[in-house]
Amino acid sequence: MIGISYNTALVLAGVALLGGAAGVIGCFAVLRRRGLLGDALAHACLPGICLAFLLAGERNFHVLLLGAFLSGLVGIGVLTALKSHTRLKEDAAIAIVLSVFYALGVVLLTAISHGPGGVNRAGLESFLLGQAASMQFADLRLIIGLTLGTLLLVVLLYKEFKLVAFDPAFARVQGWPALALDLALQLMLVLAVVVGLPAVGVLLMAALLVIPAAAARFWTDRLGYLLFLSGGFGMLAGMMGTYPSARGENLATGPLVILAAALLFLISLALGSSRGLVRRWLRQRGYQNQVQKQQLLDALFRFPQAPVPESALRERLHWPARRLAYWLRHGQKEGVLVRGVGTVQLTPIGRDRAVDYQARKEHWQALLLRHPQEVPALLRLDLPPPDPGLGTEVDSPSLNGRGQP
Amino acid sequence: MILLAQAYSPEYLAFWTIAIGGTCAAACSLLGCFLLLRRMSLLGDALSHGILPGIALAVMVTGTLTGPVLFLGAMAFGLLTALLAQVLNHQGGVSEDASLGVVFTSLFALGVLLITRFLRHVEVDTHCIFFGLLDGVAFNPTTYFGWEVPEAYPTQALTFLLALGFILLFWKELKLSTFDPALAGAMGFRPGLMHFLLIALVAGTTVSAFAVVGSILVLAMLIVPPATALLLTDRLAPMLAWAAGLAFSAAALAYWLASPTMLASTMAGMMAVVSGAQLLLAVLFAPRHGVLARLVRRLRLSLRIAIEEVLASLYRREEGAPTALENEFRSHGLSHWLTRLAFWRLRRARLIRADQDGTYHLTPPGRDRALEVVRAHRLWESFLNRHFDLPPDHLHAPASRVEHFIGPQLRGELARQLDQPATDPHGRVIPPGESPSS
Repeated sequence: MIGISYNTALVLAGVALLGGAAGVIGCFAVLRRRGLLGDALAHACLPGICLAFLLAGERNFHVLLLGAFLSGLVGIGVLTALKSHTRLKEDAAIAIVLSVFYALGVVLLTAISHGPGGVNRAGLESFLLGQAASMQFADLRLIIGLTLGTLLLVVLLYKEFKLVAFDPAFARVQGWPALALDLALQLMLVLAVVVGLPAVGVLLMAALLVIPAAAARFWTDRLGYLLFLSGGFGMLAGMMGTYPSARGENLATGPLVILAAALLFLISLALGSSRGLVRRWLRQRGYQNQVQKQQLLDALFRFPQAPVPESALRERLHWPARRLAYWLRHGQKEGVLVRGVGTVQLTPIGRDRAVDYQARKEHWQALLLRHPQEVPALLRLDLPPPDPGLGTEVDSPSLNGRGQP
Repeated sequence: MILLAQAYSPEYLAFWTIAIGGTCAAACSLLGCFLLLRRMSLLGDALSHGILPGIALAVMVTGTLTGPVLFLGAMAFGLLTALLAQVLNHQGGVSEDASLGVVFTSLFALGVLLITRFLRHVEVDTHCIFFGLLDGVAFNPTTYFGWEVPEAYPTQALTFLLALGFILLFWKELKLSTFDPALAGAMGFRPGLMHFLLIALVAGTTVSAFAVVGSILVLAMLIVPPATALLLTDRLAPMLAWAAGLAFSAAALAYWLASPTMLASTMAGMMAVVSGAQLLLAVLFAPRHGVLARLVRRLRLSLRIAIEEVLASLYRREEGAPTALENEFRSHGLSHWLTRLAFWRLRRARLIRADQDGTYHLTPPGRDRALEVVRAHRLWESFLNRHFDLPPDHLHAPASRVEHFIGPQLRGELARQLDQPATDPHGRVIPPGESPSS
């Protein structure tokens, strides 16, 4: 372990904690399909910062933060108003708040520096990209406060947030203050953005609010784990991104943290245990194998004469030779078929299985014919073939209201 | 750059700055209309950030911040952004907004890293990536076909013409695939290809615009004028015209506002702010969809309902029913001042008159109006009574909500269906209506 200076440790802790808090808050935004709301609110803070600078006159840190916070609140208000009182949709409202507020900030900033091309372009660039290296203890204190506050709020209002995140309409019908809870979630977003802005800038803040949550989504379908994982990913990305600059290599912290998060995202995309590509490929493969096994048994069963020539079997199945050879070997091992010289025959076990499969298939057909309107739902549910003993009036979960669109 | 530009006359500067800014904004707005209608507004945001690595790479190769290599590099990364986001969305199962967010922040970070790591020694004004050059648009006059125009103008004009040409050429395909992609696909119009072409054009426009207005303000030009236009009209062609016109006027207004004698500010930022102000005005005062217009519509409806309530109550009192007017109105959620306004309007129209002791009475024309309302009310009660299994004391409330929306034609229809009933379920007389003709 290399020795790290006090300042480096401070930056490391600050960025990691911020990543954790943003990861947790970002989950709710991503679940509500507002992944870019954080981006918009971060941009919306600029005019507030500029106004605070104009009013307070000097670079008073707390006044600037307050300005950013109020400006973010106004941003949320404008967004909500545009969404609910005009015919504009949420994505347009987000884009409008982002760009117009930011432009207002740029105009104010040039007004501060008296004319275009002034000194404050550097200030604006640090607003966009952040200056993690110059993080102070006061920043860290704020970040710790934010993290604790976020965790406390999420623990206290876990059930309510969950409901609003997944089904706001149902929450409203059940009598929960859905709008207030929604605003509370957005308020947490603003707080995180305001606290994070001086340290890591607009873009890193936007990234930390989206990428960890999107990455965690590949691993789990449960909200509790999702929050935990997303927070963990955010922290990890913060540490991974800060470490190279802590080693003294001359690299900006913000972009590195984003790229570290992107790396975690890519790993999750590939290996995620719930929706990862490998996992989904394996699942699809398993299903394909099952279908091919059944197709082979079915084809053998339907031939009129008992030992079936392999060539005739191949013709009927339209399979490549290797696939047929593989499944014939597999079937022999399982004891469902025996092979002669260029011929194949079902064993009694294989015959039983084929009959069973036949019955299930006919049953499915009857079921789908009787409930054609349920076909999409039944297919989506990916049910195992029903037991023929049940009759065609099967109480499938979809008929009981689950899995309905 | 400003010093350099002062060699030209103010009129020349004003004309060309507005022309360049306005043309650029109009091109963005034309395409932005389709982004807005397809709910792809945030793609503009993603594209304008995602092109940064392309720009950085191009600058690393060529060493300048202009030229075709830069355009191609930026264009390539713009398409890559859109493509990656789409793959993540479709194949990876990530929601649309999150996939955009993941892709563009990552690419942007890559771009910043490239710039800070490798371009520190190259003399590049990276600020223009964020803010654009409009204030000091390259004014090196170049001659095209005998016309002397600033260097930056032909690119913008070309972009605008490309966008316009694309829209005109593929008008029906774009329209159909925007409003009903499933139908467009079924009719063989290839909405996927339209989608791709649109994204490619937006990427190209973004690249040519970012040099003028900067990366984030491109988003404002793409979305804000179309959003304003959407509030002003319900048809696609006028929407496009409005959007382009608003964008151009925003440029002109912004030039004036940003001039040193006014606010002395950056023109690109001011263009976005002016567009935002235009949107605000449209939100408030748009003829059909504006807040004010809807408020007036609601007030007029409330007033009509209040007037009809007053008339009906007076009629019921004439019939001998003990109605307390005030309670009646409060139960309908009509506020005090609205009721008073209704009485004032009724008196002025001579539909009611006041006695010496202050009680109100219907005048003959007033009674005619009251009859219509009461007839509608009682016909609806009868209808409910016949067709729905409701207890008699549950008939009044729904009827008194619906009575204001039953016109003469529907009253005739109801009466015919109910075989011209003489009394309602409570045994009260249904006023005979208009002659049951037609």
